[in-house]
Amino acid sequence: MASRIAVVDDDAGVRRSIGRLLRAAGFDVSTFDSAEAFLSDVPPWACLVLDVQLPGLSGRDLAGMLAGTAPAPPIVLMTSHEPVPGDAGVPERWTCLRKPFDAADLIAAIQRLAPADAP
Amino acid sequence: MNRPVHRPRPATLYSHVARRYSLLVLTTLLVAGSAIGSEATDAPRVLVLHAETTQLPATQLMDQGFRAALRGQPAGEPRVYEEYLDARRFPGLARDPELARWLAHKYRHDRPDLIVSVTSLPIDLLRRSSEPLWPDVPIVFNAIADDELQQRGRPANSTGVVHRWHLRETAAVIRQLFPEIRRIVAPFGPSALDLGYREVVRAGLQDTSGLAYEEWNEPTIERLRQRIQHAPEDAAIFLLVVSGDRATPSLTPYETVQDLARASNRPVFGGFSHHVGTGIVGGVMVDPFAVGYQTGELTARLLQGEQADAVPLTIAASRPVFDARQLRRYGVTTAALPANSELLFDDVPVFERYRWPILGTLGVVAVQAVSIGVLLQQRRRRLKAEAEQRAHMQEMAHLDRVASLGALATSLAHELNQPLTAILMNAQVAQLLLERSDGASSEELREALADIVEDDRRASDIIVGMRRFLKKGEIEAGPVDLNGLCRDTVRLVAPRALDKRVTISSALSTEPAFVHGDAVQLQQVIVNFVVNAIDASGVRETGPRRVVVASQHEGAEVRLAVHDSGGGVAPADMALIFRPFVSTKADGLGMGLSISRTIVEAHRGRIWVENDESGAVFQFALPAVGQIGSGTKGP
Repeated sequence: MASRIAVVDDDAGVRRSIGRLLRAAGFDVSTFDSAEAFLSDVPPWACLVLDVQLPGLSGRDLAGMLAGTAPAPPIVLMTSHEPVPGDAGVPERWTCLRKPFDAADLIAAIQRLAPADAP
Repeated sequence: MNRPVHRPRPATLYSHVARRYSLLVLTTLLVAGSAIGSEATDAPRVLVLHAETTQLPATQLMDQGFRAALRGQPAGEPRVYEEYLDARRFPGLARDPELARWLAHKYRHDRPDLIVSVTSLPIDLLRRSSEPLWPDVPIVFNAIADDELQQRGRPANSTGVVHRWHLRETAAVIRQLFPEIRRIVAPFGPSALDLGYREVVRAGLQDTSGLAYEEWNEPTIERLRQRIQHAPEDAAIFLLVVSGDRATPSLTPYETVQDLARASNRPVFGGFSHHVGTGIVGGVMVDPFAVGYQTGELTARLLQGEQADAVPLTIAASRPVFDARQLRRYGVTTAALPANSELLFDDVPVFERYRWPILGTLGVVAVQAVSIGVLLQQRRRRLKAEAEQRAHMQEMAHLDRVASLGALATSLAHELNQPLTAILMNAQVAQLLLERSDGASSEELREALADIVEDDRRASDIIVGMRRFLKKGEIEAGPVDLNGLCRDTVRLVAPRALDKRVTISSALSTEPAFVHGDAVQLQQVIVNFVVNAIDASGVRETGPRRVVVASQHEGAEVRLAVHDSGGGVAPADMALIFRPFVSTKADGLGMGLSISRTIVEAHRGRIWVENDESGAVFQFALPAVGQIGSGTKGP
């Protein structure tokens, strides 16, 4: 069984393209257009691909919330800005990609953060 | 051809007329109405012999007076013949028997019944030559002065108008009117006529009590004029007759007197009433017309049968005549004039009569002209200033848009990054799928490519919108849906709102909010409002950070309001906030709201700010489309 990956981005085009990429790469992918929608789904998640700039609960807020839960999924943060130092908070559990990024970088990041679940 | 009833006439005259009449009757019978003797045959003939030429105005006036007196006489008008002997230019004429013979020959069929002799010269010609001409014909003379007449005695069978100058009286008037005058200057030109009159003037004015007499004899009128222009302060000028000089022989005394009188800086007096009006003040004057009339009256009496010797001599008519304009010029009141003075040109000049209305009207016209000029200039300046202001406003608006986009650069980058990210993902997915080329993924491949196209369009739209927003140039007015502008704007600023953790939402009217205007400029206002609102809300530490963009129809207007949760505008700032260079932000140029006001007002709208419970509400109202021109009132 493929690992479950959650993609949270409010931009439909981005959401769809990442979902398509990860599915093509063999992951089991669920996409959400907001943090709230993501929270309404059922864990566990092998990895979370999360946009920082979300309406309502932001990606950073969600990441902070999840950090206190167990098991906390590793998170790939996506941002249009320069990564802020805090985004790299727990290097072994988080990583930050700056849009637009290379597909290989995303897959590599997921494989690094969730090696056991990699396809 | 009935002969009118005549009073008894002198026998010679009577018999001659009878003879003449019978001859004419005979002729008429013989020729049966031919042209011979077509004049009234029974009218007496009067031959007027002038010593002068017909050019002189005085001569012409005398003729007019003479004929006027004879007109309508009960005895019928005589036939008047005139000879102008021009004797001054032909010396010795008066003694020339050839002239007398010539006259006798000329008038052999029209023998005069009466002779009018102007001056004594014709009398001498007729009576004192070796062969007297028409010695039996009575004579009416004029223009013979008192003293001359006394010397020569009254001619036989004559009566006449005795000429009398009144130069002493004139001198007395001068002293009366101008007490400061000490001397009388009498200018004379070179002509023979002047020399004759010089004797008259000298005799009349020399040794006048209290006034010195001075003669200015000059070879040219020009020299006389120059002297008269600079006449001494204490002088009066006396111009009886001054003729033309060698250069201007055709000038009559009237014209010369006029020339000199106008040139004079001192009061000028004269001796002929018809010279009043040329620029002379006046004097006790001889009136040539009146003398002519007097001559005519005497002529009529003789024609009616009176014996010439029995008709007493008449004194030439004279009277004090003055030019009211000249008196005013020299500040002389009419009260100082002799009694029975005739005041000519006493019409108050129009300007003096209506001085204040004229001055007032001129003043009003002048003020109006100046006002019109000033207004035109102001209008020109204003139009220029308006054009400059418009260009300036457009320039400033453009700069503001550049600044807005600068502030939104990260927002735009984010906005562009989304499609770019999606495109990159999809393209790489496509590559991945093509590498596998297992056929099963062709559907996925097609979808990826379709998404690439769509995301590319999205990126392109953003760039097009940005370019449009930065566009320079004239306003392009047309119908604009404010709601559409709001949606575009919210999308544009959404990343910034996200960055600042500000929720932005819209509460737009259900139907489109069309106004008339320039979409770019109106969006600029909305961008300014929304960016300000996001920035104001973003600094808030606690509570919701919220921006609401709302539109609604209100009457004939569309109203757009941007609510923030930044705590509101300080009352002191409310009046200032739409002025240039007023900013509450550290990084702001302070032009945004000022430009916004300019734009809104240029769209015939109004702009203002209020506070509500959570923050400020920036808003503007524009006439809804279809209501343009109906006028809107300020808040």
